[in-house]
Formats: sequence, C-alpha cells, structure tokens
Amino acid sequence: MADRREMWKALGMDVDTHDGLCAALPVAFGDVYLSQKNRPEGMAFWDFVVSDIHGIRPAELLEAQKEGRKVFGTFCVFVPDEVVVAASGIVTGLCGGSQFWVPDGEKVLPKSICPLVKASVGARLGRTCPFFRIADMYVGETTCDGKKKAYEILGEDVPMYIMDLPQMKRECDLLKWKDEIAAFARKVEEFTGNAITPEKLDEAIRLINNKRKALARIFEARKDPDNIPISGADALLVTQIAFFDDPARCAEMCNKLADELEERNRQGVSVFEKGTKRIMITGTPMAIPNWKLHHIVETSGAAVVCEEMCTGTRYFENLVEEGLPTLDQQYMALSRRYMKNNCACFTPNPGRVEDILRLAKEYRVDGVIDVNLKFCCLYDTEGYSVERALKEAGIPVLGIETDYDDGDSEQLRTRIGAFVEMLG
Amino acid sequence: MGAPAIIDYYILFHNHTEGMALYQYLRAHGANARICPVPRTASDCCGMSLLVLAEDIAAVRRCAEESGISFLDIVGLPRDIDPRRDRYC
Repeated sequence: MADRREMWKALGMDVDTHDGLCAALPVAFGDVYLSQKNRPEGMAFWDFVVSDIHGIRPAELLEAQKEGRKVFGTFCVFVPDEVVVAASGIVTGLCGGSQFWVPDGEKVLPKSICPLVKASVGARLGRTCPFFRIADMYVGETTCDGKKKAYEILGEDVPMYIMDLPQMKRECDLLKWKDEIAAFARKVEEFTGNAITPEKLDEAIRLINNKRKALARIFEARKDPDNIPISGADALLVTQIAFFDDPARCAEMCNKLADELEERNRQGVSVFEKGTKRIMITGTPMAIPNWKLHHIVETSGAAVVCEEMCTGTRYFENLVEEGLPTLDQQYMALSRRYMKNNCACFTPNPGRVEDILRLAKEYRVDGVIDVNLKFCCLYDTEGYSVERALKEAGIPVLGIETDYDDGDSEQLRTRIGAFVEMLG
Repeated sequence: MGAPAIIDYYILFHNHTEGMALYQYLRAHGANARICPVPRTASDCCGMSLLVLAEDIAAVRRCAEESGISFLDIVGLPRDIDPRRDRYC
C-alpha cells in the first residue's frame, strides 16, 4: 500500500499515535458497513474514500496548495462555502467524530463539554488529523458556547477567523449575518489574494447549490414508503464525506448514487425486509466516523430513513438564489439561505419543530429518535419542545443522550430495541 | 469442535489508483469484490484493499492478468466482522 506516513510526518503529525486510529478504522468499518447486505453498488466510491480518509483527500489538498490555493477548515454548516470557492479557495471539514481524539481535547477543555468540541480540539492539539494540519485558516462561528471558548484555545495554535452568527431571526439579524458574510468575503479576498466578483460568486453559488440538489436527490429516494433503497448508515457516510470532498465531484457521485437508488425503488430493491420500521434521527451532528447510533438502530430491527441534523437535512435543504447581479444582493441571498437553518442555537426556534413534523410526514417515519451529544445543552433543552410536539402529533419518540464512547452501547441497544418493539 | 472459520481474502495494492482500477475491472466483468480499509493484521499501512471470498480469488488473478493491473499481495484472514461488537473508532 501507499505509505502515507511520509506525508503525515511532513505535516508534523504524531504518526505513532495516529496509528491507533488507523488500526481501529478497519474493524469499525467492517462491523458497520461490511456486515450490511445488498448495499447500493454506488457506495463503492464512499468505501474507497473512507478506506483512505486521511490519505487521498489530504494529498489532493496539498497538491492544490502547491498551486497557490488556500484551504479553509470549517466546523459548521453556517460558514458559507460559496464565498471561499468564489476566491478559488477550498473548504474542508475537520476531524471531530471519534472518541480517539477526545482525551487530547480534555487536556485543555473541561470534561463537561460535548465530545464533538473536545475531539476537534484534541485532533488539532494532538496532531492526529491531517485536515487540521493542512488548512491555512480555520473558520469558526458562534453557534455554541463550547466552540466559542475552544476557538480561543485553538487560536493560540492556528489562525482562526470567527463569524458572529446572530441568535435570533429578525430582519435585523438577517442583515447582520449579511454583513458578517461580506466581512468574511473581504477576509477571504485578502487571505487568498483573489478578488470575489459577482460572476465568480454566482458560479460558486451554482456549484454549491448543485451539491445540495444532488444530496437532496439521495434523501428524496429515501422517502419511498414501500422501499428502503439505502441504509441510514450509508446515507450518513455520504453526508459526512460531503464536508470534505470536492463539491463538483461530490455532486457527480451523489447524482450517480441517486440514479441507482431511484432505480432500486422502481425495482423494489430494498436493503431491509418489507415492513421494517422507519426511524428519523434528529439532533446533534454526527461527524465522521461517528456511526454508532445508526448502526445500533439498524441492527435492532429498524432502518434510519432520515437525519434532521447538520449531517443530514440541515446541510442541503434550501438553495441560494442564483443569477443576482451584485455582491450586495448575493450576500443577502446567502444570508437568507443560511438563516433558514433551524439550528438549536436560535431563540425562539419554532422552525425546527416544524421541520421535524414535516420530515416525519415526508419520510413516512414510524418513530423518531431525538439524540443529543452529551453536554450539548442547546439541543438537550430543545428536546423538550421537540418531544412534546412529536407526542402531540402522535409520533412515537425516544430521547437519547450519548457520546462517542462505546460504554453505553448495551444500554442503547436495550432502549432502542424496546422502542422499535413498541412501534409494533 | 466449532465450525472452521470462514476465511476472507484481502487484496493489497501499491496504491489506491491500482486498487480502484482493479475493483472497477472486476465489477465490469461480473466478479465480486468489496472495497474496505486494509485490516491491521494484513498490513501495517493504512489505505484501501479489496475484500473477496475464496471462490473469487481465481477471477481476481485472471482479471489482474488480463487488465495488467498489479497488486501487492493477497492475504487470507479468519472473518472478523461482527455487527454486535459495538466497538467504534
């Protein structure tokens, strides 16, 4: 095999420690993905990417940097990729979905912060994530208190730029977010040395919209009430990798997969037996390689058919208006699209409950699992409204708090198994 | 005595380009193979491999010869896929 160690060493990574992750990935991948039957052929692309997740894409990013392009690492779906792309920059997701990185995060953060934040900081400070080594700039946002404080610690080690996301959705907040996007655009122009023109931004808007449309097609295929053409674990993997991949290639591969899923629906080719209970998962994001909950659900007699989360519908729903002639109008269009995202950081946030009720109908779900990463007080607190609304609508709901550790797996199996059984 | 362990065969490559090329060739010619990370017990290096069953080995060798795509090794390992293990990375 191509030995990536030289590349990782050149990036200043702690290769020996990182080796522990390399050893764990094949086992987890085998248990979650190779154990599945009748997967779509198109998933081969994502199997390929995840098999060398710290090799193939990092090598591409390094090549792009040699050509003078800048790489921007982001933590959240609120950072507008379009702005970076318009300046010939590249956006990449960052590591943060594994317990492997948590202990290094806990060296500088309290234990009582969510595992996603601890893992992100740990991946950077422990030097065990190539994406965290490659990015020229890190773009944060003010979506949670844990991240805001973590950025201050990360900022001592890496160049950080923070976008101040409003926490309400009044017209003045949309204008404020538009100004934030414009300020970010100026920073990106300065950092890359490339001017953002209306033509370039429109091209970038269309590119990212195409990626969203392609992801939406995959999710659309999951709505078929009589067939489940793809497992939730596979759909989650597609979304997780979308944060890292080249957006044009992502759209191309997602469209190919959507073609296959639509054909599967026509032919009645399902991953699960007829009558398998359909579950929607709502809540906090699941960064790669966090496959725990999906896998437990799907080996407990049910199938995940939708994710109302940042690694799900919140990533691709709503498009940015195309064809606007001025940057000012385009920044406002970006603001309007991104502010439609019903993250729990907003108050009040009735749109999220409306989304969940709408999605439950669209995906014909039998039940909802509202999952929160431990110590995410925003989603945990909003769980009260979410679960109340679902109960009022007569949709069975199970609230779960978990983290990346394997320790609660048996307990989760018991609770989820009982929930699925209760669905009848 | 328990039943003998099923052996899974992992095809290792010099690089992912050859791995993907052979995968595509195999699938185009009706042979079974699945892409997966190289198990640590098969190699110290990270990266992709192809997982095939014993009955597919002959087709793999034939396709590799026909296509001129080289591979590094074929490693047989007792099957170690357990969806109830609950060990995530």
